Amino acid sequence: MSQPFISAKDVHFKYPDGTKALYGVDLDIYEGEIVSIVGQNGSGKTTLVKHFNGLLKPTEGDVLVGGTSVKKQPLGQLARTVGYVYQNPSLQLFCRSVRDEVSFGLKLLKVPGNEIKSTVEESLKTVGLLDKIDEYPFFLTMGEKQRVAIAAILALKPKVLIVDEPTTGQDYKMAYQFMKLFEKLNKEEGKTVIFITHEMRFSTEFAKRTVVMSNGKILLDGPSGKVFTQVDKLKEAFVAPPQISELAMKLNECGIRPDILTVDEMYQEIKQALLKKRGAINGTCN
Amino acid sequence: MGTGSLAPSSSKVEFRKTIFGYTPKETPFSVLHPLARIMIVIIFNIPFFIINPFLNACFLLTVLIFYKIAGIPKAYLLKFTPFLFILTFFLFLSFAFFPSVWIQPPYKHVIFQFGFTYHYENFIASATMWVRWMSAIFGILFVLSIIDERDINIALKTLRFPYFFRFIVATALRCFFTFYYDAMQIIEAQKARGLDLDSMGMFRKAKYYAAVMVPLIMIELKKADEMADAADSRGYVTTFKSEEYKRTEYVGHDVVMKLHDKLFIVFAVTSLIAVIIARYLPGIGPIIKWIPDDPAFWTSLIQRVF
Repeated sequence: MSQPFISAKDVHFKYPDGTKALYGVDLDIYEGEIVSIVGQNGSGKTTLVKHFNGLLKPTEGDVLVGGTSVKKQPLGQLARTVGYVYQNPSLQLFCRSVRDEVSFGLKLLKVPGNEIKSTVEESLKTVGLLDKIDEYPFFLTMGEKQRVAIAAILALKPKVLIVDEPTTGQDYKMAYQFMKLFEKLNKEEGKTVIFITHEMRFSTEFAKRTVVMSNGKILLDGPSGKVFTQVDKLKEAFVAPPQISELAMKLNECGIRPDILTVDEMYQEIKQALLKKRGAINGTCN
Repeated sequence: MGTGSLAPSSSKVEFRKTIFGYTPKETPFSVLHPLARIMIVIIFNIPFFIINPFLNACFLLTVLIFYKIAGIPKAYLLKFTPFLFILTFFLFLSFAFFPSVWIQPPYKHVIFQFGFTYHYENFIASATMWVRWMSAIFGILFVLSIIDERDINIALKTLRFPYFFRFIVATALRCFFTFYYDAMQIIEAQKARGLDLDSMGMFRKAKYYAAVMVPLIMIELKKADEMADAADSRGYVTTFKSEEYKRTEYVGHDVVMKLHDKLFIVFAVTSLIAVIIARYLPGIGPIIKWIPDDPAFWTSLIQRVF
């Protein structure tokens, strides 16, 4: 198996006010993965991912990014490797135009001017905001602001994207569009995506792997289908599996496999079961 | 989280949030009424009426001892080191070029000449002023370490300040923490884009401060608006006529001023008045206004001590 790109080794973290947030977390993230991290509020999800781009440093243990400890890498360098998309884009927007906003990080890193221009346009095209390139960021809608923030991070061409609750406060359509964008970045550009979410349906639909955290520790870590069948452990973490998973587990006694994650999978499973029962020849329900 | 203050980790000592940060909940100063605690500021501003650097040094030493007694983390003071360093630099610089009113020129004792002449008199005047300022600054910071905005509200209530004024002060103080927290969030968010202000020099930091100030102002303006709406929706009205409607106020009703609080307040105010008057009294006045304007004083002092 290849080396993990991000490796947390026995990470402990205590906040300055004495609150301990992480208790010996071990986690390996490999290149090209989409990983969702779930857990109740205060379980340490955000604290953990902030170690991956150096915003926080472990009080004990270590975090390696690209084989090098985050303690030895300057923040500017880490920002180019691990991009962090905040839940609230207003924390980052301050420039007079979307173009300036997206090019800001590149100017900090002293990227040549002509390369900045092409990178900015490419990033805005990816998020579908090329037509707003000269707009004042504060006049954009919340969804557009979020996309500008994402474009600003994408412009730095990070290998890893950490997205902290990208769907909070968004309507379903907008939330789904964001998740499709991250999926596209993973499939087409090979970016590793780590997203924190409370929406289990996005976890099951977009993440091949789910990590469940509780009280500063990792409770479960594995393929999403398997993780969401561990009902007792999920209860411990105050995480409810998606309804479709709950239904699949209940129907397991009727021969439905329990690790179903989506409606489509359930449809196929039930259809097969019914066809088998009816002894249908032509493979349809008619 | 992650942007808070610097309380030391200890499972045994309980901490509480004060204006300055997390400090031990139970200290010898906890027995004082909030107004009495605020009066400590007066005591440590008495040096502004005293010139004698030895007397002022006693005040500075006292406040540092108070920090130790109250268990306030050293890290809180260390946060102010850059500010104190700049203040010290400008104090000494200003007295290098401008004569002090305490020691009339011409100055006789030269320390060095480097384009301009720096005298011992410049130095001792700077040091004397420095001790005054440090006592006052540390005194204020100490008081801020042992009170929170509720204590200030109670103190103002004890002094019979009107409700609307106290509400504004308490809200402003509470908002300070929100402001600080949001600023820390923004600084962190900009770090994620590669803007690490902590690692920049002063001038480069100033250049990029718009990246923090612009989003901060936008967010705080929005919050101010939302807070006004929240207050309106709860029936808050600012009125100068308190008899127009009844307001139930619970803050500080269980905090009673005791004898020792009154004695302490009287002591603080009396001390200040006493020093102001004593400056003009024969015998005491010269001691209060004395400054060692001759370097020979130090050599004889060292000889006497050693």
